[in-house]
Amino acid sequence: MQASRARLFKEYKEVQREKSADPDIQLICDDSNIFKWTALIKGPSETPYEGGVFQLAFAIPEQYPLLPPQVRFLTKIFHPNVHFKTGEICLDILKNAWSPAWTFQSVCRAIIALMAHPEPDSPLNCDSGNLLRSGDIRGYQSMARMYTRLAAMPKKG
Amino acid sequence: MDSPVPATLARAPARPQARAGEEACADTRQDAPAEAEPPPRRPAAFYSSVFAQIEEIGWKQLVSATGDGVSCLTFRVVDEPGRMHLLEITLPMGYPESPPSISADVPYLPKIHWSKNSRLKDVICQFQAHLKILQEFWNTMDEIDKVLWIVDPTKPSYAMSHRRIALGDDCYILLQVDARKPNSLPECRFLGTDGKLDQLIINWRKNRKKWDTKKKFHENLAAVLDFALPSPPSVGDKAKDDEQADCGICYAKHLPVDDELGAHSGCATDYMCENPSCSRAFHSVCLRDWLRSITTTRQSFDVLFGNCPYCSDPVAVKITGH
Repeated sequence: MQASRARLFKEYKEVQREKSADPDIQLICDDSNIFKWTALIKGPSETPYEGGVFQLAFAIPEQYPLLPPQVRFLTKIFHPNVHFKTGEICLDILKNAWSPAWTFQSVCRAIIALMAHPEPDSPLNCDSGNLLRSGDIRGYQSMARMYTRLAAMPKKG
Repeated sequence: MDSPVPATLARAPARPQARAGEEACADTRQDAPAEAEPPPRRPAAFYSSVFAQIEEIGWKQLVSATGDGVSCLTFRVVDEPGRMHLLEITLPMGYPESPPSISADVPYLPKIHWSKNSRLKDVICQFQAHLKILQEFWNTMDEIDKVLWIVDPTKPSYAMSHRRIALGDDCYILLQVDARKPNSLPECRFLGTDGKLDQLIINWRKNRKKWDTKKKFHENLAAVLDFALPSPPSVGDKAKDDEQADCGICYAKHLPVDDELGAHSGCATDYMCENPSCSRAFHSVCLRDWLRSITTTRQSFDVLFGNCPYCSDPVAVKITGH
């Protein structure tokens, strides 16, 4: 507990110091709980998520960094590797491929990369995975773009 | 970028037309429900008054507001040399007749002059004047930290007025600087092996009357002890690297001082990845904990074999202690 708290404070200071370094990622620590963070990530360009801002929730276990943070999407997203209802993310570095070398910033970067390169072979969203596996790229992109517009873009007017 | 105002602030009723100096209206309390002693409530004018005063100070300086919405306000105050301070102002239930209380990371707090017509901006101004008075103290501490070999605290807060200074040969002097008169003779205690310390203690008792408040602190200290005080350790790249390396797992230079860690308590990083491109430093305790937490680690007698968390090259750590 003490070691994880100390590391989190260091990461927090690093995030504060490098606030403008990465315009695609914004990390926010809970006011009263260092073990709860949220992040806002921009949808990568040239993907159906472009123009969207997606919110992630980080729940950090006491054994962090020996165990990975639990990250899930709070914003609805149509993506084969993200559970549509729960926002759970199927990403190896958040599970068996975790290492203490990862930071919240680099985890967000990996999630952005996952958005740009979905893996339909291990889907959490079967509809999305099936579209891609059957070769219906247009259908997948159309659905993903629609949900991005619905859930990840600020309402106009 | 300023941190956003927390959501709790939104609960407070706010009138967009709130004006400074607005007359407090009578509390038109509705029929109270039949409850035993409901908690005291602020009149509605309290919130509009506080909002107007925050606007007066500037919302950018407001860091957080907690309590029943706005009863505990934290402001960012920057002093003239650019040090950033957090001033916490707590508004009691009897405010504004009762004065607010303040809290900050300073060696001592100013006495706040308050009347019921005073405004929060007055508190900020008095705190800024207090920071000006403290500049001499902080300048003295900064110079001590720069010139002398400070072993504790490694990262002093603005409130700390003590320093443990290494004199070499495992001898130390623990100083307590008077924050109100930082150039005056400090309180001091000597720590370490008796043989070397005896002469220093004799010198201190004999020479302390020679302390000159017009001279620099470290010059006075060297003169009174009649001793060449060592500089902060910064010689040699290897020593510098060893001193400054953070553990790649816990991100700290030193492990916490903890009985559970036994001989490793408070120690620096003691393992380095052998890959020249990596050379990441670790506490062996942290690396051992990491290797134990994954399934791919192999063990042979009292050695754990695994891969560096950063570059995946082989690493090996002895299992010691429990």
